[in-house]
Amino acid sequence: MSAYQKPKIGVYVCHCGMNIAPKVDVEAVVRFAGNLEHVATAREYKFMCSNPGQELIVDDIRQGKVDRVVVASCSPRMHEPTFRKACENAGLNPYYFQMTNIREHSSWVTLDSGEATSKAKDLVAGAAARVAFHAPLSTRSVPVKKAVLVIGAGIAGMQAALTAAEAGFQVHLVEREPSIGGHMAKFDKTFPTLDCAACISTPKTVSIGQHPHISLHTYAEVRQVEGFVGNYTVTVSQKPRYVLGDKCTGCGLCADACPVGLVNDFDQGLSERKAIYRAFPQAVPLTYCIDKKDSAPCTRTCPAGVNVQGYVQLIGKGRYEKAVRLIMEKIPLPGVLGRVCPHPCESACRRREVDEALSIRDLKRFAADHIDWASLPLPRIEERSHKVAIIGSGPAGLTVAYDLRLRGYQVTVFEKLPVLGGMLRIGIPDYRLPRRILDREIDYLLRLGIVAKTEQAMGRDFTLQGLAEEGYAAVFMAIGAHGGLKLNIPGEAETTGVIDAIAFLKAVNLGRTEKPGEQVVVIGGGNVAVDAAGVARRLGARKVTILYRRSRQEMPAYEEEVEGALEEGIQLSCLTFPLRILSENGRLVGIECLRTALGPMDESGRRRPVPVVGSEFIIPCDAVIPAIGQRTDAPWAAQEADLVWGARQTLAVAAESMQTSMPHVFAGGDVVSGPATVIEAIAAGHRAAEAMHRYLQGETVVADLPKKQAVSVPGQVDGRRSNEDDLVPIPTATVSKPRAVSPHLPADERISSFDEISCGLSEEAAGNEANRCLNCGGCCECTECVDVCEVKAIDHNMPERSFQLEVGALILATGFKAFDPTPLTNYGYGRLPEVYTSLEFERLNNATGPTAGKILMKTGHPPKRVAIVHCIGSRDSRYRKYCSRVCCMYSMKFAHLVREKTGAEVWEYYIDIRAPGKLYEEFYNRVQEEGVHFIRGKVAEITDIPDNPEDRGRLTVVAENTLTRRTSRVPVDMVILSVGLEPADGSADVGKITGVSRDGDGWFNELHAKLAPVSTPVNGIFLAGCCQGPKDIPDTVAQSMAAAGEAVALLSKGTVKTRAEISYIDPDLCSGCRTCMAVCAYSAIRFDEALNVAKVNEVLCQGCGSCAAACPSSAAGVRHFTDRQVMEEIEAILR
Amino acid sequence: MKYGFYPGCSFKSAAGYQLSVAALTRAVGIEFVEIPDWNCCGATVFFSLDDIKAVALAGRVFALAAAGGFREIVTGCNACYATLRKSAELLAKKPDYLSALNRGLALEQLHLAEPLPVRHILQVLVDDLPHSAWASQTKRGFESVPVAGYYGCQLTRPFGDADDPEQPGILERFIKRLGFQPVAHSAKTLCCGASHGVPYGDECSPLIARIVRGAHEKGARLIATVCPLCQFNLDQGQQRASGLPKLPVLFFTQLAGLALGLPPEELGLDQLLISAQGVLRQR
Amino acid sequence: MDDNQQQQLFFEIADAHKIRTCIQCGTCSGSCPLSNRMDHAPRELFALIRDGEMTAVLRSNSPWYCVSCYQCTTRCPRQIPVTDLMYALKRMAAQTGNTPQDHKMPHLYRAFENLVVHRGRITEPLVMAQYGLHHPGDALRQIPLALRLLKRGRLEWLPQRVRLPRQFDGFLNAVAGGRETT
Repeated sequence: MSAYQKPKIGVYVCHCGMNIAPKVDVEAVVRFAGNLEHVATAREYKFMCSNPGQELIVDDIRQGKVDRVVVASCSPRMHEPTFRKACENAGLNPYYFQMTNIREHSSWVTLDSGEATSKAKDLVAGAAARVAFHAPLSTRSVPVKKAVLVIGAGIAGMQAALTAAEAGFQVHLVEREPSIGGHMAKFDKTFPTLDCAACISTPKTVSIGQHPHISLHTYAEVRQVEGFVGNYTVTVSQKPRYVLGDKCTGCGLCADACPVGLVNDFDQGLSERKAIYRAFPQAVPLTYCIDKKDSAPCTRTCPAGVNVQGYVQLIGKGRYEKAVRLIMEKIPLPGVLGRVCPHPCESACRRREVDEALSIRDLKRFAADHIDWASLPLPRIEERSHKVAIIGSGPAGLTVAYDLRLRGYQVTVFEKLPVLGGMLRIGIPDYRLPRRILDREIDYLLRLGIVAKTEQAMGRDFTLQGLAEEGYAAVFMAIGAHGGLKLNIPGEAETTGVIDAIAFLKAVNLGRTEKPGEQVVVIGGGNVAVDAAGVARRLGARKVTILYRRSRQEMPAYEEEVEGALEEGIQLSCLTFPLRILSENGRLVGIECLRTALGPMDESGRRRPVPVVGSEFIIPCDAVIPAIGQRTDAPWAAQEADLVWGARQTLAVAAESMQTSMPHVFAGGDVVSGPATVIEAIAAGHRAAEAMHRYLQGETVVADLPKKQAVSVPGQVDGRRSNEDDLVPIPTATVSKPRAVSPHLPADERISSFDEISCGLSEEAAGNEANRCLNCGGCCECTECVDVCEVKAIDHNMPERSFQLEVGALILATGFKAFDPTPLTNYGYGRLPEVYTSLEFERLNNATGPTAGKILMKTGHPPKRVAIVHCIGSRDSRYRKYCSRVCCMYSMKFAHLVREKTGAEVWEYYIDIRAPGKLYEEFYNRVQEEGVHFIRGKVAEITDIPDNPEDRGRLTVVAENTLTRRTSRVPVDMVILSVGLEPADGSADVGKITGVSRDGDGWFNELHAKLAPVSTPVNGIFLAGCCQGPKDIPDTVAQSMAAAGEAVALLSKGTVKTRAEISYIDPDLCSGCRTCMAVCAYSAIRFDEALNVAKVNEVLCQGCGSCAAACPSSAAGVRHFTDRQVMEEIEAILR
Repeated sequence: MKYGFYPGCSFKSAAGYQLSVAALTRAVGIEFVEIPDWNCCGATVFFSLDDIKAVALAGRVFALAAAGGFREIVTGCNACYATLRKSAELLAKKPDYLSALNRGLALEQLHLAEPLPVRHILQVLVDDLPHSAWASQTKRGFESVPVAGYYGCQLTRPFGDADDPEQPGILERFIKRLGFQPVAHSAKTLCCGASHGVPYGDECSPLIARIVRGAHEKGARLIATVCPLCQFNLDQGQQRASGLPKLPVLFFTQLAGLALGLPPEELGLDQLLISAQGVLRQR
Repeated sequence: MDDNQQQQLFFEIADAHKIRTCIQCGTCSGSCPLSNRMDHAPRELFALIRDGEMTAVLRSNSPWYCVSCYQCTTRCPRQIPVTDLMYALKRMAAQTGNTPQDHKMPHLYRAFENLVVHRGRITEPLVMAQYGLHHPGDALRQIPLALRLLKRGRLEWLPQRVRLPRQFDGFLNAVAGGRETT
């Protein structure tokens, strides 16, 4: 169809009543149009969109006067379909029509009638020029998917879902929360009829749960929406609720058993709930839900990955044995670590933001000391045949032995000394770690079937070769670092009375009892130095001095240990540097020292000590104990040539797997890391055990070893939680409580014996301490719930799941959120306890709420005087400029309920009462008659400063009574802030995902306030309830039914017409570069391999034109927007 | 650190303010350099009579400070703080005001390109000095002394940018930092009557009473203030109002001085009408 | 000027157009520490202005009770700069000679202004002295307090001033010379 067949164009100019005519000189435009090329007729009419108006066009076409139509009127968005239909009825292809907008684009945008008219002419000229080159287009119809997706299950979503389902369509109802009902489920009564919210919404929630056509997806969110009207594919992701819906009976035993108390959001924080919970008894679905955040900072900080929050909560609940078993999932020696762990967990404790960190280590010790180890049940072990040798019985060795034994391996531990425990045994004095504690816990390990051979020294009693021959398939080397470093100062070697700290401690731990000397000098600033000093003191040394070359701040020893030492009368000589050991005929008589001062930082980040010249002095003494560090002691090294050593006499291993140069030999602990902490040794042990297990199972060793994972024992939570910072917020109401400290023996008693210094926490103290825990991770994974659940409905390892839904239409019902009045500090919300938000009051007044429906103050007494303050956040250009529409009415409902339930006096502070609605004004009237005081004036401030002594403890509400012109100061017991409505959190995302635009306040845009109030600019997506703007329940329900009606109407048609204005690709021009396929947002272009050209799928294509823009060989174009058509239009306008 | 300091007319005669500021700046090692030949800011008076003169007054102070090489102005008076900032706002908004100002400044061989930022001494002490400046020496047993911070009006209003206009917290944070016990109360930013206190004392005394009661109700035994006029009104106002607990009203700089262990006489504590000795001794 | 012109003028010089959007909620009057002394508290004053009752408005004592605490300004839900409008009303009244006769603040302000214009700085006792000329009672009532302040070395006797008062005065006039209105 080309222009040269002389098209006969009809131009029809609309007055649009007074909208166009008065500004645009319609006659002139018609005259002008008449003279345009190809224009056969030009007419005007008051309302072209009216029947008579359309008739004009139809007749001209029928009579053959015209075969192209231009209408100059309003926005095509409104009436293009109308006129296209008219052309079609008259037998003309609807795309031989062009509409131009001389209302919004001409008459409405200028005051100057001349300008308006000339622009109208240009637009008409353009349209006429364009239409001449229009081509007939046809649409095709495709079937729609007969299902609806409703997002949000408040009263709006529920109603829309029910209506659509009743019409016989499949409905998917997606709700973000674990249960449905939205805000209405929190209400008690509803205005103006005061019927109870539950009576209205519960039947709906129930039938939602039971309706054959409704599939409910709670705790789920829509992630992606693809496709087009009638044919949407929606991706939904569903958070794990860790409880199986098909099994859970809602009995609630789990919640009773759960130790974790959290703030109850459903009650607006006015009450507590457990980590496993259900919003309220009638909740749908009744399935419980576990509130799991990311793992708590303490847990994630523990090098061994112990579930700290878990055992702390178990201790709080008195379940000591279970606490110990939980600890032992990651630590073989709980009582030991409960004493000597450097507790990095405590520095990560969020309780410090309130007051002080929890005494986590003391709690661990408490649990370990309060169970009967002899009767501690052994886990079920499935035996394996492999033999494994562990060399060294320190923390690293014992950890590997433990982990591998639990996995069923035949484990033998070889220990050089006559006793087990390594450094724990010989390095740490009894008064810090009593022998019996170590024994009781090692005994338990042996009960597991770990074989221990003592006095077996490597190189002397066995070799790696030999072990291999005896059938040990893997070996773990954990020989520690037992060799002391020398001072390397004059006099050291040749003098008796110089004894290395480790050797000294070992000797004492193995039974030595005589004191090293009367006056002992210990050299070094670490824990070993402090221990050596403490031991020397206990053995009866009169004077013990610790020499340290840096200042006290730099001392590596734990502050508490240093403090303890000082209490025991041990002297500390910092900034002191040993020069020479002084001796008289081989007998030690003293040590010559030099004062030092702190110089610049060294590589360790600590200030380097520099000697002060001429500051030499002498400390008389008869024993010197160097404690300046340890090294590995491996006399056999030469025999085991295949073992490669690293720096500073440590064994070289692969960092991840702890595997040495010999594939079947692994190593960990001090022998690898150099002197380090117990917990680090245990962490290394876990890593090695995991690697050895894989090695023995013939798997690759190194691949993705979990950093701080222990072996997982059957039935254990796999701890697959992320270490992000989605943690339980610290409750604002948290009152600071002092940290529990375990009492210490008095210093004088201490030095006379080796009794343990720290006496441990009392049962009461431990309980209180555990209750200080903030439960950062939400659920603590203590599995108490699992134990009590009779139907085995709980699965702590439930994954998040994601699925797709095929629907023809969507209904958005994402609702609102209540305005947070905290920023309005003159009302004292959050600061003055008796100031409530309206939502809080709804809960206070609700039978299932924190006070079981009694209106009580925090004191537990009912209020005598109550103020209700309107327009909080609404009608306020600083916050929300709009009126939230419902506040006046619910405020008066509150007034009525307060009067009814408590008989209290009530003051309503309002600016204007807005009661537009059936029976609303009557309700206002009723509340007035009930004796509520109405004060016309916005409250200026709410203060707790009483005007009169008798009002002490009350709040004073200050406002101008604008009708009496006086400032009124009313003392009240309770204030309710009538907060406005805001778009729900996340509605921005829903907007992005669905493509539905939002207005300046964030509410979703309807297509047209009057013509299409529940439709959106996106075809096939509709709006229900407050997500479109504040509204009350009656309006919401009506609108929801309307939205469902629209959706049903769409789906009932069975088919939708695809667009005619879609892309085409000229196969002759297409070079097959596939650029278009990359840019197409609707994946509507496929490639024809045979012809080596791209082809457009006419159903999927939305005519966006990306391909046309991207195509390098201009083979792609969009129908009805061809270059020719567009250019002709532009040229005509510019002409 | 050196700061261009604008004392304002009431600084000298305010109970120990000048002394304590001097002692304090010495102790913490910062310097407040008085802006040479400064003039009155005009307070609320000139905006009530003739705003171009009001702007002129502030403008001259800005020009002098700029000429003195300062990039900002520090003051210890709420009225000066708000008035200077208000004029700065006008000068920035109305070019004709600025040109009028410079016409006048020319007579004194001065010129102002743009107004300077204005800060209160409190903001300097809290924001520019490290925690350690106080923390190291705040173990003086003041933890048991409950102090109510009183901001008055014009530090937080109309410019809500420094802190919340009704319930600010900067002073409480400072009081805590100094090792005193800050008291939460509702009178922090209530009006003391300002200059109306003289002609309309009877009308203003209920305002003062409410502030003092508000602090006292919450257990405060001292009031710490940041403005000479507030201090004056509260200090002398408690005398005339009957049946009021007598709470000593100190400048925050005097508290800071005490926290650093400076001798009371150096802090001008003897200039208070209601003596603080009792309270401080009982600690 | 008749009320209409006054109204026009006020809207221009005070940039008071925002009060057209006042919803008469009374937050300003309720927040005002001295509104109980005002013949027309702020909200009412705005209603009068909108009604063009400018004679009543300019005669009103309300602006003169304004203590510039800005409570009204920061709380107004329509963000009307109430305090600034009070300033503007005071200026307009002062310049049209409408200041309320029975009100003391104008005298205090004038005394203050006087000192600033002639000395560049104020000295409280001198302000009191000048103010006392109009209200000797008030001045006398201050004497006991003055003595107690004197005892504590808090009474500033030496008049404070800028270096060159004359030049300063000249500066002020030069700036004010370039005034259009208030």
